[in-house]
Amino acid sequence: MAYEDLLRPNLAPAARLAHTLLGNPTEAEDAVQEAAMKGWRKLGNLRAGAPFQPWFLGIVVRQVRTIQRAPWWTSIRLPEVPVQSAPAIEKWMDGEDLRLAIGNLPRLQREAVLLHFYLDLSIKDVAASLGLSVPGVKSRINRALHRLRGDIASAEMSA
Amino acid sequence: MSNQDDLRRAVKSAYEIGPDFPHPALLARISADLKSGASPGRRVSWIAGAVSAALAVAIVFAFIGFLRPANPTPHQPGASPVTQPATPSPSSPLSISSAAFHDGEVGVAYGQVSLSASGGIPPYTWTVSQGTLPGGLTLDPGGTVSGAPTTAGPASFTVQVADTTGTTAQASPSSFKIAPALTAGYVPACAGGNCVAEVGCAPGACGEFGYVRGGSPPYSFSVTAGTLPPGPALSGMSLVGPFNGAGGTFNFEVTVTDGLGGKATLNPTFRVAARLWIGGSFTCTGDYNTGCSVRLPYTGGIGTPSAAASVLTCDYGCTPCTQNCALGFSVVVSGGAVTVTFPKGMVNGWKGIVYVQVSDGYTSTAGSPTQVNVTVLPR
Repeated sequence: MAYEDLLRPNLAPAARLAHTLLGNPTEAEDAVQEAAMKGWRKLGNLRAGAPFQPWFLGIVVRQVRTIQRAPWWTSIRLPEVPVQSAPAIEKWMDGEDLRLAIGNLPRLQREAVLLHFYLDLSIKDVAASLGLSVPGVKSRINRALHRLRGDIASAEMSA
Repeated sequence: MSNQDDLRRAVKSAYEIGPDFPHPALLARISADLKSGASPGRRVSWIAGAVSAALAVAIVFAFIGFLRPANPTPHQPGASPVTQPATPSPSSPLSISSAAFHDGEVGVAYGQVSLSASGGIPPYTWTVSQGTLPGGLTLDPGGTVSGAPTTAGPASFTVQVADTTGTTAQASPSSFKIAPALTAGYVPACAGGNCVAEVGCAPGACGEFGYVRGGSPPYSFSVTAGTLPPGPALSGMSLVGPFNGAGGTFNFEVTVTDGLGGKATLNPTFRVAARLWIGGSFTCTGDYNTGCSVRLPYTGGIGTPSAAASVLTCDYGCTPCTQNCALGFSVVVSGGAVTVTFPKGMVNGWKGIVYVQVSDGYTSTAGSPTQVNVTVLPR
């Protein structure tokens, strides 16, 4: 199977993941584009028989990290606000508390939560994507859930 | 959150983005990058690009010598900039380096065959491009053929490998055969595993109990349970060599293993009879008017034996004995004995020796016939 055939069904999940982590659709697509090229160069590292999706999403996550820690003067882009329908914007606003709470999570907890609850990856695949053990992913998700419950509860009380 | 399903729904809702994301052009941009091997061309407006470039140049010139990037790329002094090839190029053309199959056997796990390729850009994906694998065998995409054949017969097919670019290479057509399953059965004389033999029986007359069909030579046979009768040794599905001892019942298990690991077992029971035997020396005395009769009891053997008698020596000028002396006699086997009867009319004064031997098809007393001394008294 050619690389593009492997890549095609994973572009949308990868872009959505990058968007949740970066909050900017243009940067998210650029991150996926860069990750696709890195994946192409590193394809020899993919073990025969290993699933492609967790491997590729791991590259996307690392590319997002690279973008997030880049010095401010290396990349200046004008954000492009996606044109969305009114109902979509309302839904986006409705989930603001949860997005803020997830955004306040430590990096690995945030990535694990989004891979598992947003992209529906199994714990095993989340572990493969983040380079963690399965118990390591479970403990991070559990800590994240504990923290999210507290954050959302306090947000509801203060509202 | 009441449970994780609620959280899952809430997260999906919180991050929901329009169906147009990502833009359909993203795949086209990536495809173009892959084909050109160039660095990704980002979707940055020319204004943003110009501002970025101007700021970057200004900052670099203003702070050159003082600022270092947050993630500097290590450079060796005097070293030329390293150019990372954007597209991996295969070191050599894709080719199949190993696709050697071996014969198999129905019901026996097929010795795993691992196909291997070189060149191109891994990982490789293996498929059967022509023909079909024998039933029960599978080829996984990683190039491993495994399984247990279910159908006997010749197999002919071609395997193909594809690398990550879609380039393919085909192996030469592979052909091998799947042998029928190894089976073992009893010969008719040993139907149901119930075998008979007799102490002293000649090789070939007893001892064969089974046969082998199918499988792949060479075969090896071994006694895996029980005890053989004393005397013979196992040779294939036969006991070879004279049976010794006093007879008895012996049950044992023989396992045959073929060259591919197929196995079959037989579990015969040998009922070994005592040797057929007539012992001693007998005398039959009579005269012309009475004749004489003598009863020779026998022991051992299987079933009712047959008996034969012959005149070996005689005197009174009868040479050859049976013609000139007109000596007639009958031999009857009944009731566990051989009865030899000389009728009336025997030549007066004749003396002779008659040898009697019995046989039951398994063995006989031919080697040591029983002697009957006959004396015809004068009238």
